[in-house]
Amino acid sequence: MDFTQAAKLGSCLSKDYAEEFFALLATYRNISASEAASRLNIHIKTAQDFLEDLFSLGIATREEVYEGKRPYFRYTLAVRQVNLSIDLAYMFPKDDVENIRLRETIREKQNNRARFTTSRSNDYISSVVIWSGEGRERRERKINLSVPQGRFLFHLPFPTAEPLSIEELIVKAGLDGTHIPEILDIINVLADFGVIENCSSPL
Amino acid sequence: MAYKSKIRISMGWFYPIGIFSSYILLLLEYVLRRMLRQEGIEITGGPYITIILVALMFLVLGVVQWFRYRNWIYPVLGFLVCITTAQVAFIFPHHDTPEIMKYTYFICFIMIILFVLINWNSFYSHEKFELNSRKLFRLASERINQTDNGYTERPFSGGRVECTKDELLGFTRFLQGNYIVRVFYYETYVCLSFSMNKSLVVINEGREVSHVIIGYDGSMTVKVADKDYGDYREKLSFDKLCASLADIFSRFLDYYKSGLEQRIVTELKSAR
Repeated sequence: MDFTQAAKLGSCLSKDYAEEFFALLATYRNISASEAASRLNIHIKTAQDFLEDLFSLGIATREEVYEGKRPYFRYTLAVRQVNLSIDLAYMFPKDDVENIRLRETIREKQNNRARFTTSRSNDYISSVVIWSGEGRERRERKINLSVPQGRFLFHLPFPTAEPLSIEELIVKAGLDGTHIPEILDIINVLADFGVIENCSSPL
Repeated sequence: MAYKSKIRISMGWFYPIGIFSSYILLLLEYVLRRMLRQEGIEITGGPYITIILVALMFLVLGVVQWFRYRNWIYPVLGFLVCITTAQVAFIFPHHDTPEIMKYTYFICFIMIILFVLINWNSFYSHEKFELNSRKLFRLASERINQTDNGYTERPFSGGRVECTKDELLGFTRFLQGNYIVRVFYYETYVCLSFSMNKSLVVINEGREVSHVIIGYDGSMTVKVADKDYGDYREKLSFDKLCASLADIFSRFLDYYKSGLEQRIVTELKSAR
């Protein structure tokens, strides 16, 4: 199950009438939205949306029936168990990609409109405030940094200084390999905001 | 080729320039008045225009110094000098002015002297700190010719220095005693502040101005304030400037550890 589906299922399950609705679907061989709505005392549109979500998730099946002039759907519960399982494996950085990225050389970008706040102990950056837009459209975005991220940014070369590789900077900041993913993450974010420039290849 | 400093001139230079210019203006006004009298135009009194302009100059410079240094003594002194100078116009001999004007002039004059005496410590400390800060910035920029700007608010990691806590504290006391930097002591580090703009006499926190922080573990960071960086005539390579400042303090500390602290003063004096 991907994140979008999981979010939809989670949204369905979080409704306060969800348990009663599932009980109704389990009890009836098939049921229409108006029947379910009247039985649960909810709006017909709410019941319709809930049933359509279950159908799109494959939890319920639907059958179009004709009574008089207007066709409508009758829904049947298709499963006896609902599982919510998300595979997070793809989110972990791949070692080979990580190694290539560590060789990229970076430095702070000139006129980046960012303000760095140093920690009280003065050995790492605690937050970065980035401004974008002009006049009334001016927006401020504050990013609070973890201590390893702050230590890394503390040693980031200045805009006109020679760029250094991420690997060198990690060593300079006295960090170990376990912090690499979060370091790469903050580099990506700051590169998107135009605070850091990649001097070797596009980030 | 004439030597040109990399830093803009100090505010203090405007006073002698202004006073010297006022003498030229005074001469011009005197000549002009004499010519008008020769032509039969009746003009009485002294050179009011010059006097009023000089009085205004003191007031304006006092206000400008307030905006630059954030030190209240300058606008107050400027105001007192302005009032006193303006009254000079009424105390010329054979001038038909009430006797009381002469008394108010002397009262203002004495007020200026008293004000300077009472605030002498602030005046002296500020001037010495500013002078030495300018020398520090000059020294730092001596060997930098690259002008690629690159200003950032981020502090510069200036590497590490080898010293004990006692050596570091002794070194900072020496620098403060010679009005080279103002020192702020913290739990894990000392902050050596220096500034060509905001007065070191009025700051409450070392990080309000340019500073070098030296940790008791030997780590050193440099931060140059944007106003101080803006005082350079050219936008010198910022990372080189910060690195140069870190080198200077590291070298000064080595002088102090070797018992050659007088070299610090000599080196600062040599800064052009």
